[in-house]
Amino acid sequence: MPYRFLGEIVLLSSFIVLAGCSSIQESYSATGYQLRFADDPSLAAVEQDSTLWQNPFPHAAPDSLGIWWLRSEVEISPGSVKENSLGLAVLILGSFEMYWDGKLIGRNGVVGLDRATEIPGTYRSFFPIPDSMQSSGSHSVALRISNAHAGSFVRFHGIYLGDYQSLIRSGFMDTALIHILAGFFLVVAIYYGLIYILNRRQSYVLLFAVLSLCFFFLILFEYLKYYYIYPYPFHLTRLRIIAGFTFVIACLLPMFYLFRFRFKWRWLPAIVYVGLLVYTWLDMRGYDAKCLGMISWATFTSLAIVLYALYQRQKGALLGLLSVVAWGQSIFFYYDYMIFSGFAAMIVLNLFALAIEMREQRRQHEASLVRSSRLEIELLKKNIQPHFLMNSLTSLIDWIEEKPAVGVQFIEALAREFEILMDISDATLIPIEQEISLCESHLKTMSFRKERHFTLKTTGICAEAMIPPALFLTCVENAMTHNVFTEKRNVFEIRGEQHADHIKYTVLTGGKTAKQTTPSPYGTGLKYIRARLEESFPQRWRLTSSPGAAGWQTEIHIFNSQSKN
Amino acid sequence: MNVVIVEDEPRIARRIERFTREVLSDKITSLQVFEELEPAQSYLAAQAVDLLLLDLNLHGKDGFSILQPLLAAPFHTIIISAYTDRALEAFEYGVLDFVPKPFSKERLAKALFRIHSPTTAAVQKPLKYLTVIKTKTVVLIDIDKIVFIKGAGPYSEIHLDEGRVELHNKNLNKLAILLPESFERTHKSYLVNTREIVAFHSFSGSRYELVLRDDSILPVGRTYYKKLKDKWK
Repeated sequence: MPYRFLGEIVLLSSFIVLAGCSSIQESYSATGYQLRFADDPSLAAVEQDSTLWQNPFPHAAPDSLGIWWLRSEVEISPGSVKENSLGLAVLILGSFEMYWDGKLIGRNGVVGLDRATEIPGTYRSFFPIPDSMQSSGSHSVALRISNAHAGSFVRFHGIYLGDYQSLIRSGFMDTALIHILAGFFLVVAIYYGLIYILNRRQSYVLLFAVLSLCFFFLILFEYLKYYYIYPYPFHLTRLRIIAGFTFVIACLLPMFYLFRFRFKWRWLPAIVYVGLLVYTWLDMRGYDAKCLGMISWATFTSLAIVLYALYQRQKGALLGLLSVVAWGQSIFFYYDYMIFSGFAAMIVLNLFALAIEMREQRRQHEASLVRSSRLEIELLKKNIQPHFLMNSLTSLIDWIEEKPAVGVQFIEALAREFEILMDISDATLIPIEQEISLCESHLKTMSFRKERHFTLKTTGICAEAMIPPALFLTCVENAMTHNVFTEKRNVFEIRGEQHADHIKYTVLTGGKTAKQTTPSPYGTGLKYIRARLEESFPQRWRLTSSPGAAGWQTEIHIFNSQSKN
Repeated sequence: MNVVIVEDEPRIARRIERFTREVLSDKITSLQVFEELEPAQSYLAAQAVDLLLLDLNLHGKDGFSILQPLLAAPFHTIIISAYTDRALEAFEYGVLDFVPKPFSKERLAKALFRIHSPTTAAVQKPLKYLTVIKTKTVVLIDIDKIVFIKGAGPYSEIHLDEGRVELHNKNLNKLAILLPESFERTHKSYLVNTREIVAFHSFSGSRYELVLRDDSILPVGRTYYKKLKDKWK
């Protein structure tokens, strides 16, 4: 791991440590709750017959619970009465009246028998305890509750006694820290979203962006409770939203690894996996259980995928494994801060892997640009290379001295060849007709030089077809340089054949192949043809070159983009 | 004088032939034009040729491997080529001249004149190696290692330091033209590397001798004595 990423990792681990240190509340949780599903003003009183009250707490209750009571004892130890006022924090899905030692000290919403009469209070509520009632010792807390807006859900998450100011501020520190992570997720989501929009190449880049965005929203909704004191009916909506994002995340995590690496089978495992998640969602009771269940499946599935990628020795598989472990640990440890910091670590590890990959892609792209410009130079050099240019000029001078009229024709033919060459020099593909006229003009030039007739015959050429520039010209030039022409008339031939899955071009040159020490006299020329073919038709061309009946025979096969050779 | 021209483009070949005939006129006893190198090589091996005008693609390895054995032959070689960037290298191996394409009659004439008078060769001669054929393989002799060269009829004996002697197919006159100014003719049969001279003795009766670093003693011809004396003053 390069040192530049150490910084991020140190930062992330410090989040985990800080989040762990600032525990939820510096308060004393009330214990020994008792319930009574009845309504009577006398139930507020300190002295009660405990046999009439029930425990434990029902998780779900009939719709018409009406108004009910909850009571508990809290102890104010002598040390806990400080300069600051004490207060109570209540976490419950319901509206209630709060009684402290039998006296009403506050209300959360308006308690009512049904949805019409009840005005929902907030999920979290805070009550200062009057100074006169803060004596040390045991105190009774009683709540007169209605939860008509919660449907059949009965959710009570505790009564906390503590310093009133601290109770209100609780969770702020965690929220602030975790929102730094949220910002990190958001930036990554935007950055990779834009990269995907601009390139539209790799689907996993989009998956990565959507995942990051989901992490961002998950944090937002998870920690909303600390700064938005919402009416209690919204609590279930919030839990559904969180579970929804968790579902999407659980879907996308293995998908990301599935598409990030190269696998033969993708869609079938993806569909099976989503089916499994839907089953888990329906099977599990309670949103927390659903979330943990789905993330567990995501962990094990992702782990299987990266391990398989590692087994196949795919690039980046080790970083992938590390990233799965980074967030997967949270299902065994603490499923809250751990999963977010785990996700952050996963994002960093994947950023690293993606950065490596993008650098590789950029390098390849740059290399291809260099290759293209080198080929362009090579093409231009064809006609300014001394062998062609100086011999042409020497011949030309002689023609002008001997027969000026022919000299002029020669100049015209030479000019025509240069003109076409300039036209095509910066193109990677040109119409085949242009290539043929280039060959024709070259043969005309050579006719003047060699004082023999060179003509070109074409058959089966599809006028619209595109080929790399100077492909056929190179074959013709090779023949001109290396072959011996004894005949007065020499016919070169270019044949095109359209097959079901490919086009075949055959270039037949005139003359006799001169004996050479090297196995193929066409070495450098063929290198140019190969490079050009690879540039425009990567991995789907074939080139054969062999001595023919007369001269040299070059066959070029270009396969359709669907069928590869 | 027997001249051979090798040029694969007929128009250029005719141009070389025309100019050569105009410049050398009646000195030419025979002139052969070849379009390909192979028949030319067998002709050169069989016939006594004085001058080869060669169009050679010196690009790549093959060019020089074809050229080197030709330079070991008794005749002079003039390269006429489009690849001017290899001219210096060609000189180092001992071509008489390198005529870049496209060429004029004057330029070709200048090259042809060098055959007879080294003085017209105003260019610095960057010869570095003499090429000899030894049991069918090409051997390059670094000219800095040559102490003196002794004429032996149509051949030349090249005396190197440490007493080695190599035989070159070119006669002493031809080598004298190719070798740089540090080589001086001291006798009709001797070419001496002036850097090797340690003493100069004169005896009665206009007899002169040179002592070289390897203790060999060479006679100095009367006609060359004055020229040497002027140079060494």
